Parts: sequence; structure tokens; C-alpha cells
Amino acid sequence: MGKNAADVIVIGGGIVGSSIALRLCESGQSVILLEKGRIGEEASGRSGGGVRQQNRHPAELPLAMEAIKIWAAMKDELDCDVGYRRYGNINYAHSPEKLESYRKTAEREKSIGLDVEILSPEETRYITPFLSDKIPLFGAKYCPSDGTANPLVVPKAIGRAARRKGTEIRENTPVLKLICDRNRVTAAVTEKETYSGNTFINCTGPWARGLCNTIGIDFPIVIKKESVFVTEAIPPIVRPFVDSDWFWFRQALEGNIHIAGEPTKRPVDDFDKSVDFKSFVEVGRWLPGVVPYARKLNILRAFTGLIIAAGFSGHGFCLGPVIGKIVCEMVTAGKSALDISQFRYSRFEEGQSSKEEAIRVN
Amino acid sequence: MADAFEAVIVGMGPAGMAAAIELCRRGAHVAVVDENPQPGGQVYRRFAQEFTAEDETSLGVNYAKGKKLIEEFWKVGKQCVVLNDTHVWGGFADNQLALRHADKIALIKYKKLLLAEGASERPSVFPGWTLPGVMTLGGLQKLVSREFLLPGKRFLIAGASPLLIPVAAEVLKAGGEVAGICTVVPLGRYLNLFPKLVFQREILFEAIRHAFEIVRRNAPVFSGYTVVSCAGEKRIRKAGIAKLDANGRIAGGSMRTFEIDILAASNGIITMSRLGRQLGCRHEYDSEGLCWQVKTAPFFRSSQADIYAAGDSHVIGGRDLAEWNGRMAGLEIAKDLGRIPADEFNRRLSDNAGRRERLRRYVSTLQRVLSPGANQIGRQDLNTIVCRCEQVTLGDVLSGIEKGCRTMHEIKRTRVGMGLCQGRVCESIVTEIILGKGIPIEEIGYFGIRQPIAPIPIALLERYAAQDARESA
Repeated sequence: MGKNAADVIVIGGGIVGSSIALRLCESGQSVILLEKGRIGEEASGRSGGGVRQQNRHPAELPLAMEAIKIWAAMKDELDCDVGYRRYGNINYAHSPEKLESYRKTAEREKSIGLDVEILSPEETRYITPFLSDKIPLFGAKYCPSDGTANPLVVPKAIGRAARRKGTEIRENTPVLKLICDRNRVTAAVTEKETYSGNTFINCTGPWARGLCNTIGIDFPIVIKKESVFVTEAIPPIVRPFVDSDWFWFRQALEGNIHIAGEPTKRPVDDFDKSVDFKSFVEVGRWLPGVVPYARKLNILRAFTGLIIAAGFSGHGFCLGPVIGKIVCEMVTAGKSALDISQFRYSRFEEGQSSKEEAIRVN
Repeated sequence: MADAFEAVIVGMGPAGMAAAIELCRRGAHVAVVDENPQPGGQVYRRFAQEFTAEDETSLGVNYAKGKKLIEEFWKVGKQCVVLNDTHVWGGFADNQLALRHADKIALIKYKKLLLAEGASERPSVFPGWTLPGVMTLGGLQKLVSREFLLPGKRFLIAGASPLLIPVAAEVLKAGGEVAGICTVVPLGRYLNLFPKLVFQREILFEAIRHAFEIVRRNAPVFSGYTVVSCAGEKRIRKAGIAKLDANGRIAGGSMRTFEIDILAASNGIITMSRLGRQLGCRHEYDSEGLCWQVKTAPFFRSSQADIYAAGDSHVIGGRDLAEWNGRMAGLEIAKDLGRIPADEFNRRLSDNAGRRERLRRYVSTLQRVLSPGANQIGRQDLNTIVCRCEQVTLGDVLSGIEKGCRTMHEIKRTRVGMGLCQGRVCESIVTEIILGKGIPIEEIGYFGIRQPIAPIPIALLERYAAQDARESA
């Protein structure tokens, strides 16, 4: 095969694209990965870092549970500590109704083998003692096998592994358009070259819609942004990823606390990474009321993550590794062992995509 | 509502003060922001307001020059709003700056913004440089000549910096014992300065005075030497210097050790352009001064609308160039605000052009002469701390590069630049390490800076939010 030809051309080097390239190479395919910048620098690198199974859409849960198996083996597989720790995921119920709905979800999840439990308010406060006692708390849903990983490290480590297995990674190589011949994509065009292959995989996240448009396909993507605030490093005060209806936070292994509040999520029409003044003030509005200890801390950094609805809706970081496996099976065997029928493209035309599928489920 | 100004100047050193003077003379509504309690910046730093000097001439040229400019600033600048003790922690949309003063947060609006943040020191990095008792040359200078404190008895003064000789002389004058003056720069290279110094009488006389002090007190000078170790239990007690070859091996018989209690060292003066970077101004790398500069064209206008840069945060040039450029930047802003006609600005541009050009050439020669040389840090021990906030070593950074990190953004995966100082201290060192691996500077880039450009207490955000809620209710 020529210099710019491979069995599969993967476009986009985030966690999803890198994982797909890795698995394809392992199954003996030749792969070229085209990345517009550097591996793992966009949405993947700016993720909240949660690796969670609980409270997912029913169609997504088996994928997440499969993903966890890959995450658990990742340190050995990639020969790199990606900061993955199973410190649990705890989800507050601030109302009796919420607790009731958590109970139902927990039963459904338990029935397919997920280890979740409903905690009493006392148990919840025992695990997260920093929570203000002024916040109404009726209990929490807790999944001990959930966890977090370091978004700065993971995509790059997977990219390195893909390269070791033979993926040709071309960085700083944006794909401008795809070329179609009789209903098949035949080439990806960059500024200087044209790449040909049997299969093309679009893993460009927020840019996916634009790339699909070049071959006349409309892929209805909505982008939201979520500002994440990072404090200075402090001694360990919280192990699990703490989630609620309207905020989340977690303590990174290095000690910094990452914080995001739902109100900072706003639709954006571009991929603006800046954090506006209002978002800072919003942190001041809610955080000290929820965690009084925060009054002693400083915000050291802030960044904006992208939540790409109809991409992975903010779930791509956790699911990325298993998507590699699924897509690899689709390419090599024609279908995946896991059921992904609910994520078919035609769901948009059928109008079946429920709200939960588009945005984060809680 | 945010207070609105025609021009906001960030920094009250020579450039910021000079720009404020010119703008106020033209009747512009100006605010000047600085982190320090008094105007003057680093070079014209005053001693605490509660004190007066009996003999001002003993305080040196910087004191006298600074006094003149500061007096002019207070006289003409009466109309301008002086926001001292105030940090800018971010630039936001619609020409707004977020400020922090004492325990308050505020927003101000500008039509034109002048970046005159000044310079900082490039740290000199060696095993043990994070021990108490090790400080930068500028830090020691501030203590000795403006706080009148001698923090120790026996000093080692080291590095490649225009501050090296003045600081050694000031310590001697204050009664300190200088065990050694150590610089990696070969003594012969200093000779290149003399042809240019002939035109800089003021600087030449200062240099002679300092040199005289050093010779008179018999302070030993070690040129071509690098600090290779310091040791001590809770603070520095001992330091070792040696001649190093390109691979970092100590040349036979060159090792010298000193019993000291203070080691002051730094490797030059570099631009400090955090706000400019955060606001997206284009920068270019100055390979002589080893730092990034705001790119301006045609004069002081940056690549971003309404943003200008002058002084040492723009181009390292020292007090006189900073003042000149500050004045011109002030006039350019006045012109763009429609407060003076374009030909007045053009006429002023040619004022003192010859003297300014000679001074610029002197500064550029000085930078070449004092350049510590490429990849000094690469010759140090692998366990040397590079990022003191996160305790990242030279070895960690090198292994990060081995794993494929090529840019400043990527190298953060080793945790460099992720601590409380937000990369202020280690950035130039990390850049030097990556450059040493042959990666081009355009690819390496710099630490991206986003708001907050200084750590911001959550408690202050809470107070602002509460006040905001009351006002909108």
C-alpha cells in the first residue's frame, strides 16, 4: 500500500480515535490516524475525568460496564499509570422524589450486575463530611466500583500504545474534506495530501458535523460547554467523585479539587475555550453554601470542557476505550458483540432520541 | 456596573507611569493598576512610606531617577485613578478587567489597555536551590537596598544577570561579607561592553562605582563557574561551584566550596506578559533575551484590538528605554483616542531617536554578553527540582519529553507549572530544557494562560456574588 493509504483511516486523535486505532492495529489492520493538532488536546484532555457506570441510560450501561474492564487493565496494558482509581461515585439526592427515582434505577442496575447501593443521609455525610448541613439531603446512590482517571494523561497514553502497535499517527494534519464515490467514502483530503483507505472513521467530536457536511450528511450535533474550576492542592478530603443534580466535584490524586456547577453549562455556537466572568461569580454563589470549607481555598485554574450531544454527550472519556473495541469489531467482523442498536444513525430520522440520550442522565 | 476608563494601564513602573503622565496631560480619563503599594515598579522601588532618607544621594541613581519620575507622576497624574495594591486576575469579554483589591473583587472597563507589567527574573536552577536562604538577585537587592535588611552574614552572589555586580556591591556596602561572585560568563566577554558603554555615561559611572567597591573589599570573582550544589539541614550552609563541560561533568580541580548563609542567584531578566497572553496577544520569542515578547506593530499596538504594550513586559530594555517607550505608547493611545493629532505623535517619535537607538544597541549587547548560554539546566544533576510548587525534577521533565511531550502544554503532564505559582517560576527553565532537545521554539510555545491569571479566593467570589444579588434585587 502507498504511503498515504491504509485499511482504515481514523480522523481525530482524542480518546475515541486513539482507542479505535489501537484495537484495529491489534487485530491486524493497517491504520493511519489524522489529527488536526496533537493527540488528546481537545475535549478528551479537558474532560471532568469521571469513569462512571451508575445512572447511565439503559442502553449505555452495558457499554460502561464493559469499559470498566478495560480501564481496570489499562495501567498494565499501556505501561503507564493513567491515574485511574476506583474511589467510587456518589450521587446526592436532595429531595425525596429524587431518592425514590434513584431506588428504582438502582434496582434496574443491580439486576444486570452493577454493585450500587442507596445510602442513608448519615452514611452519605460519613463518606463526604464536608457537605454543609444546610443542604437538604435525603440520601445518595453510591457505586463503589466507579472512579476517576487523569484526562491529561489517558488519551496520550492510548495514542502512544496505538503508535507502538503500528498506527501511523500524523499530527498537525487537519482533514479538510471527505471524498465520496458511489456512496462510499474513498478519500480524506488534507492541505497537502490525499489519504485513501477501505474504511474512514470520523472521531472528530465537535468538528464531526462539519466533516460529515462535506459529503452531504447532516449529523445533528449540539455543543455545550461546562466550565471546570480547579483549586490549589490540599490534603485528601474526598475520595469518590461527588455528583448531584446541579454540581459535581472530585479531588485529583495530586490534591487539587475540580469543581463544576450545572449553571455554568451554556450552549455555544463555537468551540470557545474561555471561561467568562459570570461563571466565576456563579462558583462564589453556590460552592461555599454546599461546601463551607471552600471559603478557605483559591481557584487556581479554570478550563472549559465540551459536551458534545449526539457525540458522547460528555460520556466519551469513560466510554472511549470500549468504543475502540466496538468499532474494531464492526470494521473487522461487520458487527459488534455489544448491542449498540439504540445508537444507530437513523434514530435521528425516526425521532426516537429521547432527551436523556442527548444530554447527561442523572 | 463596572467603572469605565478611556485607558487602563497595568503596571506602575517607569513605562506605566510615563504613559499615564502623557495621557493625563492630554486630558484622558485613566486608571493605573499595580500590585505594589507605591508607584515605581521594581527598578524605582521606594522604601516604606513611613521612612525618610537623611542622605538621598547614598541611595543611588535608581532612587534619584525614580524620585523625579514619581513626582512628575503624582503631579500630572492627579487626574488619574491610582489602583495600588491591586491585582488584575483576568481580562474578560467587552474590554473588562477583573481586579482584586484587598478583600474585594471589582470589574473595570477600558477603551484602550496598556500592558506594562514589567519583567521578572529567570531563576538559576541547581541542586538545593529551593532551600531557605537561597534567593534571587532581585529579591536580595530589594531586601538590602530598600528594606535595609541584611538577611545573612556571608553571601555567595551568582548567575548571569545585569544585577550580579550591583547586588554584590550593595551587599558589601551594607556590611555583608561576599565569599564569592560566581558567574558562568567568561570575564573576557565583558570587554565587549566597553565600546557601547562609552555612550552610556550614567551606566558606566554606576558600573565603575560598583566595580570599585568589589575590588576595594577584595571579593573574589569566579568567572566561568556554575553553582553545582548547595547543602544544609534546614537552610543553606554550604555551596559548591565548579567549571562544567558541555555534558555537565566537573572539570578536574575546579570545584570550590563555601560556607555561607545566603546564596543569591538568577540568570537574567525576562518579560512578564501574563495578561497579554491571556488576552490572546501574539508573542514572538526573543532568542537573545530568552523570553517571549508581545508582538507590536507599527509601534505599541498588539495583535489584539485596543491592547498596547510597552516597557520591560514588551521588550527588555531597562529603566530609560521603558520610560521612553511608555511615553510614546501613551501618546499613541492618545492619538488613537483622538486626543492628539497624528503628526504630533509622529514628531515626538523622532525625539531623542539617536540616544534611544544607542541605548537599545547597548541593551542588546548586554544581553549577548550576559547570556548564560544554551541549556545550562541540562548540565545539572537529574534530581534537581525544576518546578518547586509540584516538586518536579529535571529527570521527570526529561522523561516526559522522551514520552513524546514537545510543547509547553504537553509537558504539564509531568505536573510542571501546575502549582500555586501557575508556572511563573519554572516556565523559562522548562522552555530551556525542551529547547535543549532540539525542538523548535515555535512548536514548544509557552504555558497557555487563562483566567484566573492569579489565584482567586473563593470567599471573595462569594462576597461579590452576594453583593451582585443585592444590587440586582
